[in-house]
Amino acid sequence: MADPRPSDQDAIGPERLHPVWVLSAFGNGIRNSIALFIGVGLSLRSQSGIVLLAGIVGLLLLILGYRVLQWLRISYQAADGAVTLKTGILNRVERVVPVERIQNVNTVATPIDRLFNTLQLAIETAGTGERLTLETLSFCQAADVQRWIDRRRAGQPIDASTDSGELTAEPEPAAVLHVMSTGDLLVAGLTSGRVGPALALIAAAIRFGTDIVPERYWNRLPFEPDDVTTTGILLLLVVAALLAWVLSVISAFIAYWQFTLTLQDDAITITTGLLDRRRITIPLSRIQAISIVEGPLRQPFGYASLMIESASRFAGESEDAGSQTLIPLIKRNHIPSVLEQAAPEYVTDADLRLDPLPRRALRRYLVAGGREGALITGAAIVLFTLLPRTPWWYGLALLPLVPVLLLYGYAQFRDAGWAIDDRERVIIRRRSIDRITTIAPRERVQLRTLSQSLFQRRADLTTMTIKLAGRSARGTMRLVHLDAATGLQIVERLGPRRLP
Amino acid sequence: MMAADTATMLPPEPANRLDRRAVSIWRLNNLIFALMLLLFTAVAAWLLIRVAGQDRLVIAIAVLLSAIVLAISWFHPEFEWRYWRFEVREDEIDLKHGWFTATRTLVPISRVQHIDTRRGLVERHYHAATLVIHTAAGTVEIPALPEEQAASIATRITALAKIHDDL
Repeated sequence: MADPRPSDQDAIGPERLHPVWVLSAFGNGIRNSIALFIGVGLSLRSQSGIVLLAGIVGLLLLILGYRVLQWLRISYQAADGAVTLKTGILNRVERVVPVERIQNVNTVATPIDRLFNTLQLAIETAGTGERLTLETLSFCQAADVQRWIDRRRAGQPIDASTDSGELTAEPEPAAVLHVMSTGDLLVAGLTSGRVGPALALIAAAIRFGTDIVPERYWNRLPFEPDDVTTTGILLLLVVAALLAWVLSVISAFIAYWQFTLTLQDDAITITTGLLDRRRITIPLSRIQAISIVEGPLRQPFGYASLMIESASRFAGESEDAGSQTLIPLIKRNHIPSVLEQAAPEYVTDADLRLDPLPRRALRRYLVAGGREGALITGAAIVLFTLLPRTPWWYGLALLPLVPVLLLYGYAQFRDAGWAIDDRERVIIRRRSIDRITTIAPRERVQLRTLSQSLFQRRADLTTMTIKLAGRSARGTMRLVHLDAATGLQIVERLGPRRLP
Repeated sequence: MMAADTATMLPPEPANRLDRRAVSIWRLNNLIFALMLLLFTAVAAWLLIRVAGQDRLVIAIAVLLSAIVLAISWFHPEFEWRYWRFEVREDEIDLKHGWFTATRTLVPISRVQHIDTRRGLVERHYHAATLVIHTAAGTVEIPALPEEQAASIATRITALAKIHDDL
């Protein structure tokens, strides 16, 4: 193949970042050295006000000077088929990302960025997910770099009309596929499911608070601990729940404010965020699979969220590499129509029929649930027996966990299912806390594993694991206690051998 | 639903066993680890005797634990070897291993990104190597291959992967 690279006439740099970088780095510097400021403040507290002021100003100048020096030393370059970032005052660090390894280029605009019309350009690479971030570029600089990358990546001739140069304040995309309304945001926050864990924590804190905190501290409370009746605790719980809910609504508003999903030139673009405005672009060809995630608070109301699994990392989702929210909240029956436009390869019927696990697997799920419940209760009883001043039967308070876990086991059994449809896609549904349905084209499957313990062998069951590229948790699809012959059949059908 | 007979059947298990050297290599590795564990047990037992004074009980427990560890170190590799199978077919790498939990993994050759040959101290002594096969979704390993075999399998997979790339 001939070298598709255009000539390097349009090479960029070495160039400096926008001077506003100093400002945001200065802000970060102050935040990171809060301890230092407190130290200076404490050591000078006996001195006069002027000395204290001089100390603090000196410290500020030190940070500012350091940041200016850093800024002078940061330069980026786009030439010879690679983007290069040089940083460091004493230790010079040079990071080179060849264009072929670039997966996608995302932008983030922090509040400071938006004030000064600058952008962060996050250049994502495949696999292990190394990232090169050009912090604080002017719109012009960012557009230049983006254009430079786009030309080489596509291997296309330089053509002014295909420039994705509209990195200006308000990009005008081709087709808007989905927008989140304020109502959507509210529901998303209310049903995000972060409320449950928060509640459990608060409840545990109250429980332990009364047992462990010495009595004399309780005596200092503005109310009598004896007055803490069941109603009181319930009231407290309600307040805590409301608080948790308000918090999760706020976080939904911050994360998904003006969430817009657009489609342009075979790439999906997501623009979202109240404080940090993110713009994430995902080429359709990089999508490995799509997951429909139904949280326990969403499923009963017919809501779900849509996730994209991909081999690359996305800005701001570092803890779950390779996974990106496509739509944070959507009515289940609207999913097919949105996917029809966004990623037609992944459309499924709303009333998708999946093959269930065999009946004999149910007993195993129930036994597992019951055993876990009994173990946890047993552990609690032992703990309370060992702890002074608590009778062992406090542990029985955890006994209701047994039916809950039994029910959870049943739900896991009932929700598990699989299909390989006539379009050669594998569809696997399973439940962790959320019910997750993942749809992946057959050719995206990387590894298939069947494992069978001695116990499973006796019942002719198996555990099937299908792995897609990347490190996303949802990219690993596992069905436990599948019929052994069925498992083998699925694994065979997903194999590389073409059907006659 | 597709009929099952249109798919080519997988063999019930991969064709090849590992080299017998695997047992020796695993044993030696295990014994090195076990020796460190025994040393630790001896120190712990000595301390316990000094503090608690329950000589006989402590010694009995320590000896029992050591015996179990040594037995596992010695016999486990034999089991592991007996249940290890691998096969590199034209289109797929097929691995199966494990006694209590039998795990079978299938890697299409076209998904192989690159292959590492790893040789630890013990493996080097036995002129053996472990093949580490990388895909975008993770790695799989074929352990304790004779050096020449490891090299030839690596070359074969690379060549096959290239053919699949061209298709």
